Amino acid sequence: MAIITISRGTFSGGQKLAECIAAKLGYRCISREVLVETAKEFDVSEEKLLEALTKKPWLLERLTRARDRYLAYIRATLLKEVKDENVVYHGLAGHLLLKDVPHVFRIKVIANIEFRVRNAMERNNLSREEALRYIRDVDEGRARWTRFIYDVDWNDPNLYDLVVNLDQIAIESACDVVCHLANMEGYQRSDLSKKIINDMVLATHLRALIAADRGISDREVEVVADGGVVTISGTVESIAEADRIRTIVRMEPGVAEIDSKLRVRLPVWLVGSV
Amino acid sequence: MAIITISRGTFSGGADLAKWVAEKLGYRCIAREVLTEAAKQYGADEEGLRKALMEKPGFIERLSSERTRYLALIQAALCKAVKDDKVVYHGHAGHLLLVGVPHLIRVRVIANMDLRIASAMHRQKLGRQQAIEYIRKMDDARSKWTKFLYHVDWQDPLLYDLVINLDNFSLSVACEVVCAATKLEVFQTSPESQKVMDDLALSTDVKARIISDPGIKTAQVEVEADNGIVTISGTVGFQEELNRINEIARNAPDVRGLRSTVRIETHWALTQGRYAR
Repeated sequence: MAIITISRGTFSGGQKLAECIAAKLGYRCISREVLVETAKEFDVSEEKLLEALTKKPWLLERLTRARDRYLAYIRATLLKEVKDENVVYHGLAGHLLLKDVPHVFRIKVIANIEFRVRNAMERNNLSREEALRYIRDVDEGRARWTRFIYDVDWNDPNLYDLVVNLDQIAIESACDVVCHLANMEGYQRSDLSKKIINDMVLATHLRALIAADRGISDREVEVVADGGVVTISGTVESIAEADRIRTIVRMEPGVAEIDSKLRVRLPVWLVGSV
Repeated sequence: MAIITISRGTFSGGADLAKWVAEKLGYRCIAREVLTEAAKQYGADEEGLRKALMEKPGFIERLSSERTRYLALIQAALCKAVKDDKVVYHGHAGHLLLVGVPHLIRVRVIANMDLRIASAMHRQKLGRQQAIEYIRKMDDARSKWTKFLYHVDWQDPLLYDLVINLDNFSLSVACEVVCAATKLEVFQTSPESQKVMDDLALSTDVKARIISDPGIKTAQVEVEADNGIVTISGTVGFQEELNRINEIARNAPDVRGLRSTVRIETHWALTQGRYAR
């Protein structure tokens, strides 16, 4: 096993489980570290990144690109973190940010609301009502976030490989079950999965660099890497933008060949006259 | 040692998983047999039982108590079938009918639609469109059934201890997960947890005997059991039926004592209908 992501509602015991698994398997346990690292590498503030991962989308947000940019940064950093090491990631949206990465074992931890309220009251010194409100708020925010960014239902068990309910099963026991699974054959990294991850590291890195260039309207740009061959596709606003993207990609080490399928959007008056 | 229920959508691979797990652990594997048993023990028709367990509630069904009667019989038969432990039940609603038993492991199996469609096409020799329709229909019925009878959302993962997604896991890995869970301390059968199971089995059996008795038509009773002592509460229309209830309860196997708080209460409809005298 290479990468384990742990998703959970706030105060559901996910962090403890992550730490237990990491300790037992000798994996690195990461969460906020990814944001710290991203902030350093792309020179943005950590709060902005955290906001991109947590803040409920607002009405006109589709018109701005800030969140897309931050998510591209976070994704690139996370991919780098999981490239060579065995990792337990219990930060936000791991199963979505690491979508399509091979050998990711997606776990979700759930617990009944009583358990979570007690946990929140204890740890944050909240009253019962405050704890309840806090948990509801965070849950709702996360549900809307997931719906907005990835268009999936956060509660849908289909997004995970294993959902563990901590009502009956103690955290240590859940930890045992997961570790047992992780050690099974067929979940170790293969040469093929290593290649796929390396490709994705390069692709997400390039995508982040493109996002970092404020002069490019990059919303629809997609980057796929296969060995050193990088395919860029999508629609941009001008030929200059397309050139700029190609320059960014060409300058990066590891890129041997560019297959550009970029299209330039026709101006509205031209579409009209045709 | 434990009791495992495996809940799943149709063609999600749950039946195969149940067989694998049972084989690996040396447990019994049951599903539909429970209906046959219920029919035999309590003299009910199997088709009616099947419908009560599988079909979605009809429009005016809220007015009838027939389904709850059938379910009480099924619950009793299921309790009897699993109470000796080491068993995998992969029929419907196991996690709901056996609620409260501490050494019960509630497993749910899910798979993405493509996998399920492929499986349905292969096994039932259906076309793709037919397969999709079939799966949708079954899922819809299951979801309405659960909402109607238990007021819960069938998909809610909180109803289960483990939800296993077969998209990426092979059956053998899923089987490993379930087997690993049976080794956990919390699911071990203890004298206390066995008592809960036995109490449930006894109370559901007595209730099933009462409601399936041809001589009892007006009883609205609840039955509880505590170490062989049975407590019956509720109402009944006539003294004769009350006597009959007590007789049934006293003669049921494993009953060591009986407490009854059943009151006689004549419903207005009975005073003018065919029960009037």
